[in-house]
Amino acid sequence: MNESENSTGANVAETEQGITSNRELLPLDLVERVVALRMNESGQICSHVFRRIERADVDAYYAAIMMATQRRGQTTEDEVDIGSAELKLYERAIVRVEGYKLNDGRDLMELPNWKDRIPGGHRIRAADLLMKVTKSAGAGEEFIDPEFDVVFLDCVWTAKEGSMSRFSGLAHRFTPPTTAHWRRFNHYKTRSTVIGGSRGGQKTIYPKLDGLLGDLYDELIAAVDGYSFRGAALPERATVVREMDRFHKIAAISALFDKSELDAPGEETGEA
Amino acid sequence: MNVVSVAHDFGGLKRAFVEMLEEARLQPQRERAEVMAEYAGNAEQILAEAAPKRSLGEGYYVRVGYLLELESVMQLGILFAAADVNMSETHGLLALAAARREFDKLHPPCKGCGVRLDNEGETKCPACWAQGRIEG
Repeated sequence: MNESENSTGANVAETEQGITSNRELLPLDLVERVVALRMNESGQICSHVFRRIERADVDAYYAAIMMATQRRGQTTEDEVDIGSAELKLYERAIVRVEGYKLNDGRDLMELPNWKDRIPGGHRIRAADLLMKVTKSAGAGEEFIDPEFDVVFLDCVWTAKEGSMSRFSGLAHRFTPPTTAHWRRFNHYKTRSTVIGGSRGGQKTIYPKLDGLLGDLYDELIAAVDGYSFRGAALPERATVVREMDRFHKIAAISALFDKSELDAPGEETGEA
Repeated sequence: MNVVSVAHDFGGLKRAFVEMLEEARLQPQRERAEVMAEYAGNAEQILAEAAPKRSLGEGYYVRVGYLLELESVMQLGILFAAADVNMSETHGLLALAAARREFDKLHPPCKGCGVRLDNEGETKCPACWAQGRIEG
């Protein structure tokens, strides 16, 4: 890993496959976020520029996700459709793309239907990087906070000079949940519906948890570290509640209530 | 096509819990079947016959798991305000109690060792009969 200072003065460390570690605060109020995809064959960088993700975008994303379990005799099969939700998020938030050329040499953005001409796999990959946030592996486990339950998150946020920057160890400090919070979470989580009746071959459709998780985050969050708003660290709880990225809220509170719900940190190469 | 709210289908929850209790009762038989299957030519058939027999959507068993946890928490003496406990939870807990009563009737405990018996009306397991562990 080579440490360097880029042209913007950012303190970055080069890592694998076009992702850099970033030791600055994560700026929540960026007007635009850029996801850079490196093409496998040519190595060319294509950039996807998104506006700031709002609550309505996240609501639409979760509304489009379907999680179900189909029972067939004594076997069950989980059905999860996330791809169409990612496409919906992309469709809502994309502002422009850079680096895509038509076969006559023109810029893809010259087409009125430019969004539709971007390969679906690129759109899904870009949306995935835009909203992906994972629990930090082992971060902070050696320390015990005397007052709060602490969850650490990692994410990629925006590209700088064609390289996605990774933010690690973003801390969310929660007032410890009570048994009443636990009951509320689990009561809601297990309120599924079954299609096909209670006696036949049935599909269980699980409830969407994002609304409840967002509410629980707003109730329990005490403070965060690693984020900035208008150039400064978030000093007040009210600002955290108002400005925190909703995907980060949901990831952090999910980790607090059910540590198995978050994916282990995986490879995020930014490649298409 | 029926659409059922699992949390409010108390008959379904009761049935799911009876099936889960039955699964637990038959666990030793399943373990024996797994050993037999290692050496048998019809391993798939043996395993299929010994497999748990669930008849409902997965959501029922997930909900029962939550209700069992809730019941355990309440048995620890942790109190919830009445307004905080939903009626579907209260009725769900009653469904668990009804399932236990049904299971107790279907599989009464052996008067000698307490193991669950195969059939209603039995009083002793074969092992206790053989050892003469109990009178009558």
